[in-house]
Amino acid sequence: MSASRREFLRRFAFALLGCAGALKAIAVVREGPRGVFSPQLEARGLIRPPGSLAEPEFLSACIRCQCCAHECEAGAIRLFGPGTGALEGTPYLVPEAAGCTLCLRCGPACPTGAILPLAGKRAADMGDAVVDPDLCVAINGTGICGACYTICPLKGKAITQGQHHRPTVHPEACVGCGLCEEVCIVDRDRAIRVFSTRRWS
Amino acid sequence: MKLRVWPVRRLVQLLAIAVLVLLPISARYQHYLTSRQVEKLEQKWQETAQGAMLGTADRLLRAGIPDGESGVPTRRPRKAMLERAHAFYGSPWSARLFGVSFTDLLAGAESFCASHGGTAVLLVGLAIPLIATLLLGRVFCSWICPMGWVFEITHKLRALLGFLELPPLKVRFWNANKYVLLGVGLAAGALVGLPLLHYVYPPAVLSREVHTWIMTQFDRAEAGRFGLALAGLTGGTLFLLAIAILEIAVAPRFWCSTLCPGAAVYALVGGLRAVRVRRNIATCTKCGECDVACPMALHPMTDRTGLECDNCGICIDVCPEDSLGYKLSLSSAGFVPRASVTATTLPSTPPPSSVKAAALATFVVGLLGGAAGVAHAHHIIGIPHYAYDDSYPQKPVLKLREQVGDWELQLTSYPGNPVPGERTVIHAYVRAERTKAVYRLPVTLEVFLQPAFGSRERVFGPEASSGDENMFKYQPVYPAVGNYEVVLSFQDGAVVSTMRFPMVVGEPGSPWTGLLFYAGGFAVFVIVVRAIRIKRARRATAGSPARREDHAAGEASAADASGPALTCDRLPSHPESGEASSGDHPPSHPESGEASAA
Repeated sequence: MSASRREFLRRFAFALLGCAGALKAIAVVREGPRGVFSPQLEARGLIRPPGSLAEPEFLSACIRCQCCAHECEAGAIRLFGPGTGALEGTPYLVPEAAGCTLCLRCGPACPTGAILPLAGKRAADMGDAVVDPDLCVAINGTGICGACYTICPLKGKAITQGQHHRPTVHPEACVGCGLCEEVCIVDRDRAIRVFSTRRWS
Repeated sequence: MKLRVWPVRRLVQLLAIAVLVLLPISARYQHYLTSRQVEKLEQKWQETAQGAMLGTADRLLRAGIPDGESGVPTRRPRKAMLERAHAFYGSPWSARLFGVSFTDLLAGAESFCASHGGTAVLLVGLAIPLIATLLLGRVFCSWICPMGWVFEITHKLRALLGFLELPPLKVRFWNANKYVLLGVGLAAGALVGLPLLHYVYPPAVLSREVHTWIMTQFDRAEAGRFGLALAGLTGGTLFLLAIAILEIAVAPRFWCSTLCPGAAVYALVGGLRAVRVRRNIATCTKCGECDVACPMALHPMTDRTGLECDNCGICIDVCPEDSLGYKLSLSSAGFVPRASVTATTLPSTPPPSSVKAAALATFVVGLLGGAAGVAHAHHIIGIPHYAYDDSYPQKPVLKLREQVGDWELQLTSYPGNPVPGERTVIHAYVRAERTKAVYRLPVTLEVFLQPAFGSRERVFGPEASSGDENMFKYQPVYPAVGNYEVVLSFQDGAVVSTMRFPMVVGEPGSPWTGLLFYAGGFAVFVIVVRAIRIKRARRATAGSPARREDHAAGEASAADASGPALTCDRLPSHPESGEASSGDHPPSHPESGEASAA
């Protein structure tokens, strides 16, 4: 085999390897977090930090540094781990574990503007809380609670109380911080949950 | 006394690594401080690694601030500490130090391309790195990048190859590969609308790994598991390990000089640098030391440093005549007329063996692929990693499915990785595979403790459950940390079918046992290879010159069997022995075939 042909074959093999690697990388990136999270969690929608851009723009602007997670006062911002494709390294919240306290430090911390600084708590829009009347102890009559109303940073606007501490959520005022979901007393489940329109890609 | 560059550079590198590790810890500490948990956790985490991490963050954040808050002189200065914590966060990829933003140029380029035009915010963070690179060149690579130091260590580890008498491969790749990778990556990112290069940019990968690992350690401590574990490390570690192994085995600093997309950005911007390594022609003796020492394989001796030079200063340090130094110069390098430079003989390096390099690379990639497979399997059964914690809705559950004869068995354990003394729930479903008929008779469960040595011990059962519909429920309690075996058995006609599966309770043994195991295995490998080499060398010196040639060709295993025949077949007087030899090993000894033909 002549030297030039061998050189050509070598280059060709490397190019093939490179192409295969690139295709695999794109396939991995395109595939969402399939099977990593529970279907119930995914059905409630993806909750991003307050002030995040809309989903495709957010994914292209975010550089996956850890600034927002480091600045989060509540320790509520988590970063997607391995096996989540394009989402890997981007921030999200699980209000059931830790809700957002609306300190709004993540916006100014973001170096790329994927999370915009907000003027005030009411400018945030992460989702809307929804009460499940079957599970809520105040509504189904098995107890007295009022925890969600007490913790709500926009109480009186986002959540109002009726007779026997029965909560009513007003979607137009609710920013979806999820503190109500965090403190809900219902065992092994939550009677109030935040739902987001943002889809897990 | 000559002023050395490397001690300063090493100091800066170590500072950068310290910052990389301390920032996530400080972030976590800041969260605990905000939620007023520090005192409680200090009590709870005494004499644990996590407690030590908190203590470090505490000392660093309150250094220089007098104690006392709200009129109470002994109280922790919480507000001032929080203020300080909020002035430091991030990673080498993008950080804020002393309240000033720094963003990696590659991060900026990626965000700019993927989102089709960046934002003004982006420019704020990019300003200082951009100006620094324009002034000082590619200094991020050699002075700050945490992987730079790692690669300098791997460069030193190449001495191990000499010890093993393995060929010190020094394959040179095309330097422009990195520009191609950068261009393709940015273009693909713009097309897909996603930043892609951060998956392969070592500082970004490393900072993500460190962040995830530290957060996992704190999550584990909050869930009552102390000590440091390998949990939290992901495929990124394997990627960095692969680069390090290839750096040792195939080509030193190949990543930085030929593949790193970040290096490409910094080289392109730093090509206009104001500070350069310049050579004093009058004192230069053209000894070539600098050309040999240059980690980027540039040629300071002939002023051919150009775009790629990262101003690391290694050439300045090795120059015996002090001819090289940093100079402020806006003109491009190579102002010295080429004619005055005569060709010199350089110390010859062994020719690159691309075949061996490719084989080695395939081996490493295969090895890591296997490791990734193991990691994936690990993940599926639900061993917790970061993002799974105690209050997380998805507490890890062990789910197994197996075919036993005609029966389909499905088993769920909640939680999947129990703590000793905690009540766990095991649910088993048994039904006929084809007819989907439910198994009606009782199913028995037993749990055995399996020590590493000695006989196993029954800790639960046998308990028979008659089942509720098609589900059989058990509630075993595991008394101690360790490896257990859970055995399910049921009567299938005349035969008793059993299903066994392992259950890991707590974290048996030290989490570092695995690592020690690998290190020990590697040491044994090194010793065995060394012993074989020595033995072979001894045998070679004892044998004839012809045999030594065969050994040098690396055909030792074949030579062991056909050694006498090979020594003979060179001699024309014994053609038949040569034929026998070529018949035994036709592909590996073409020359013996030729000899016999002659």
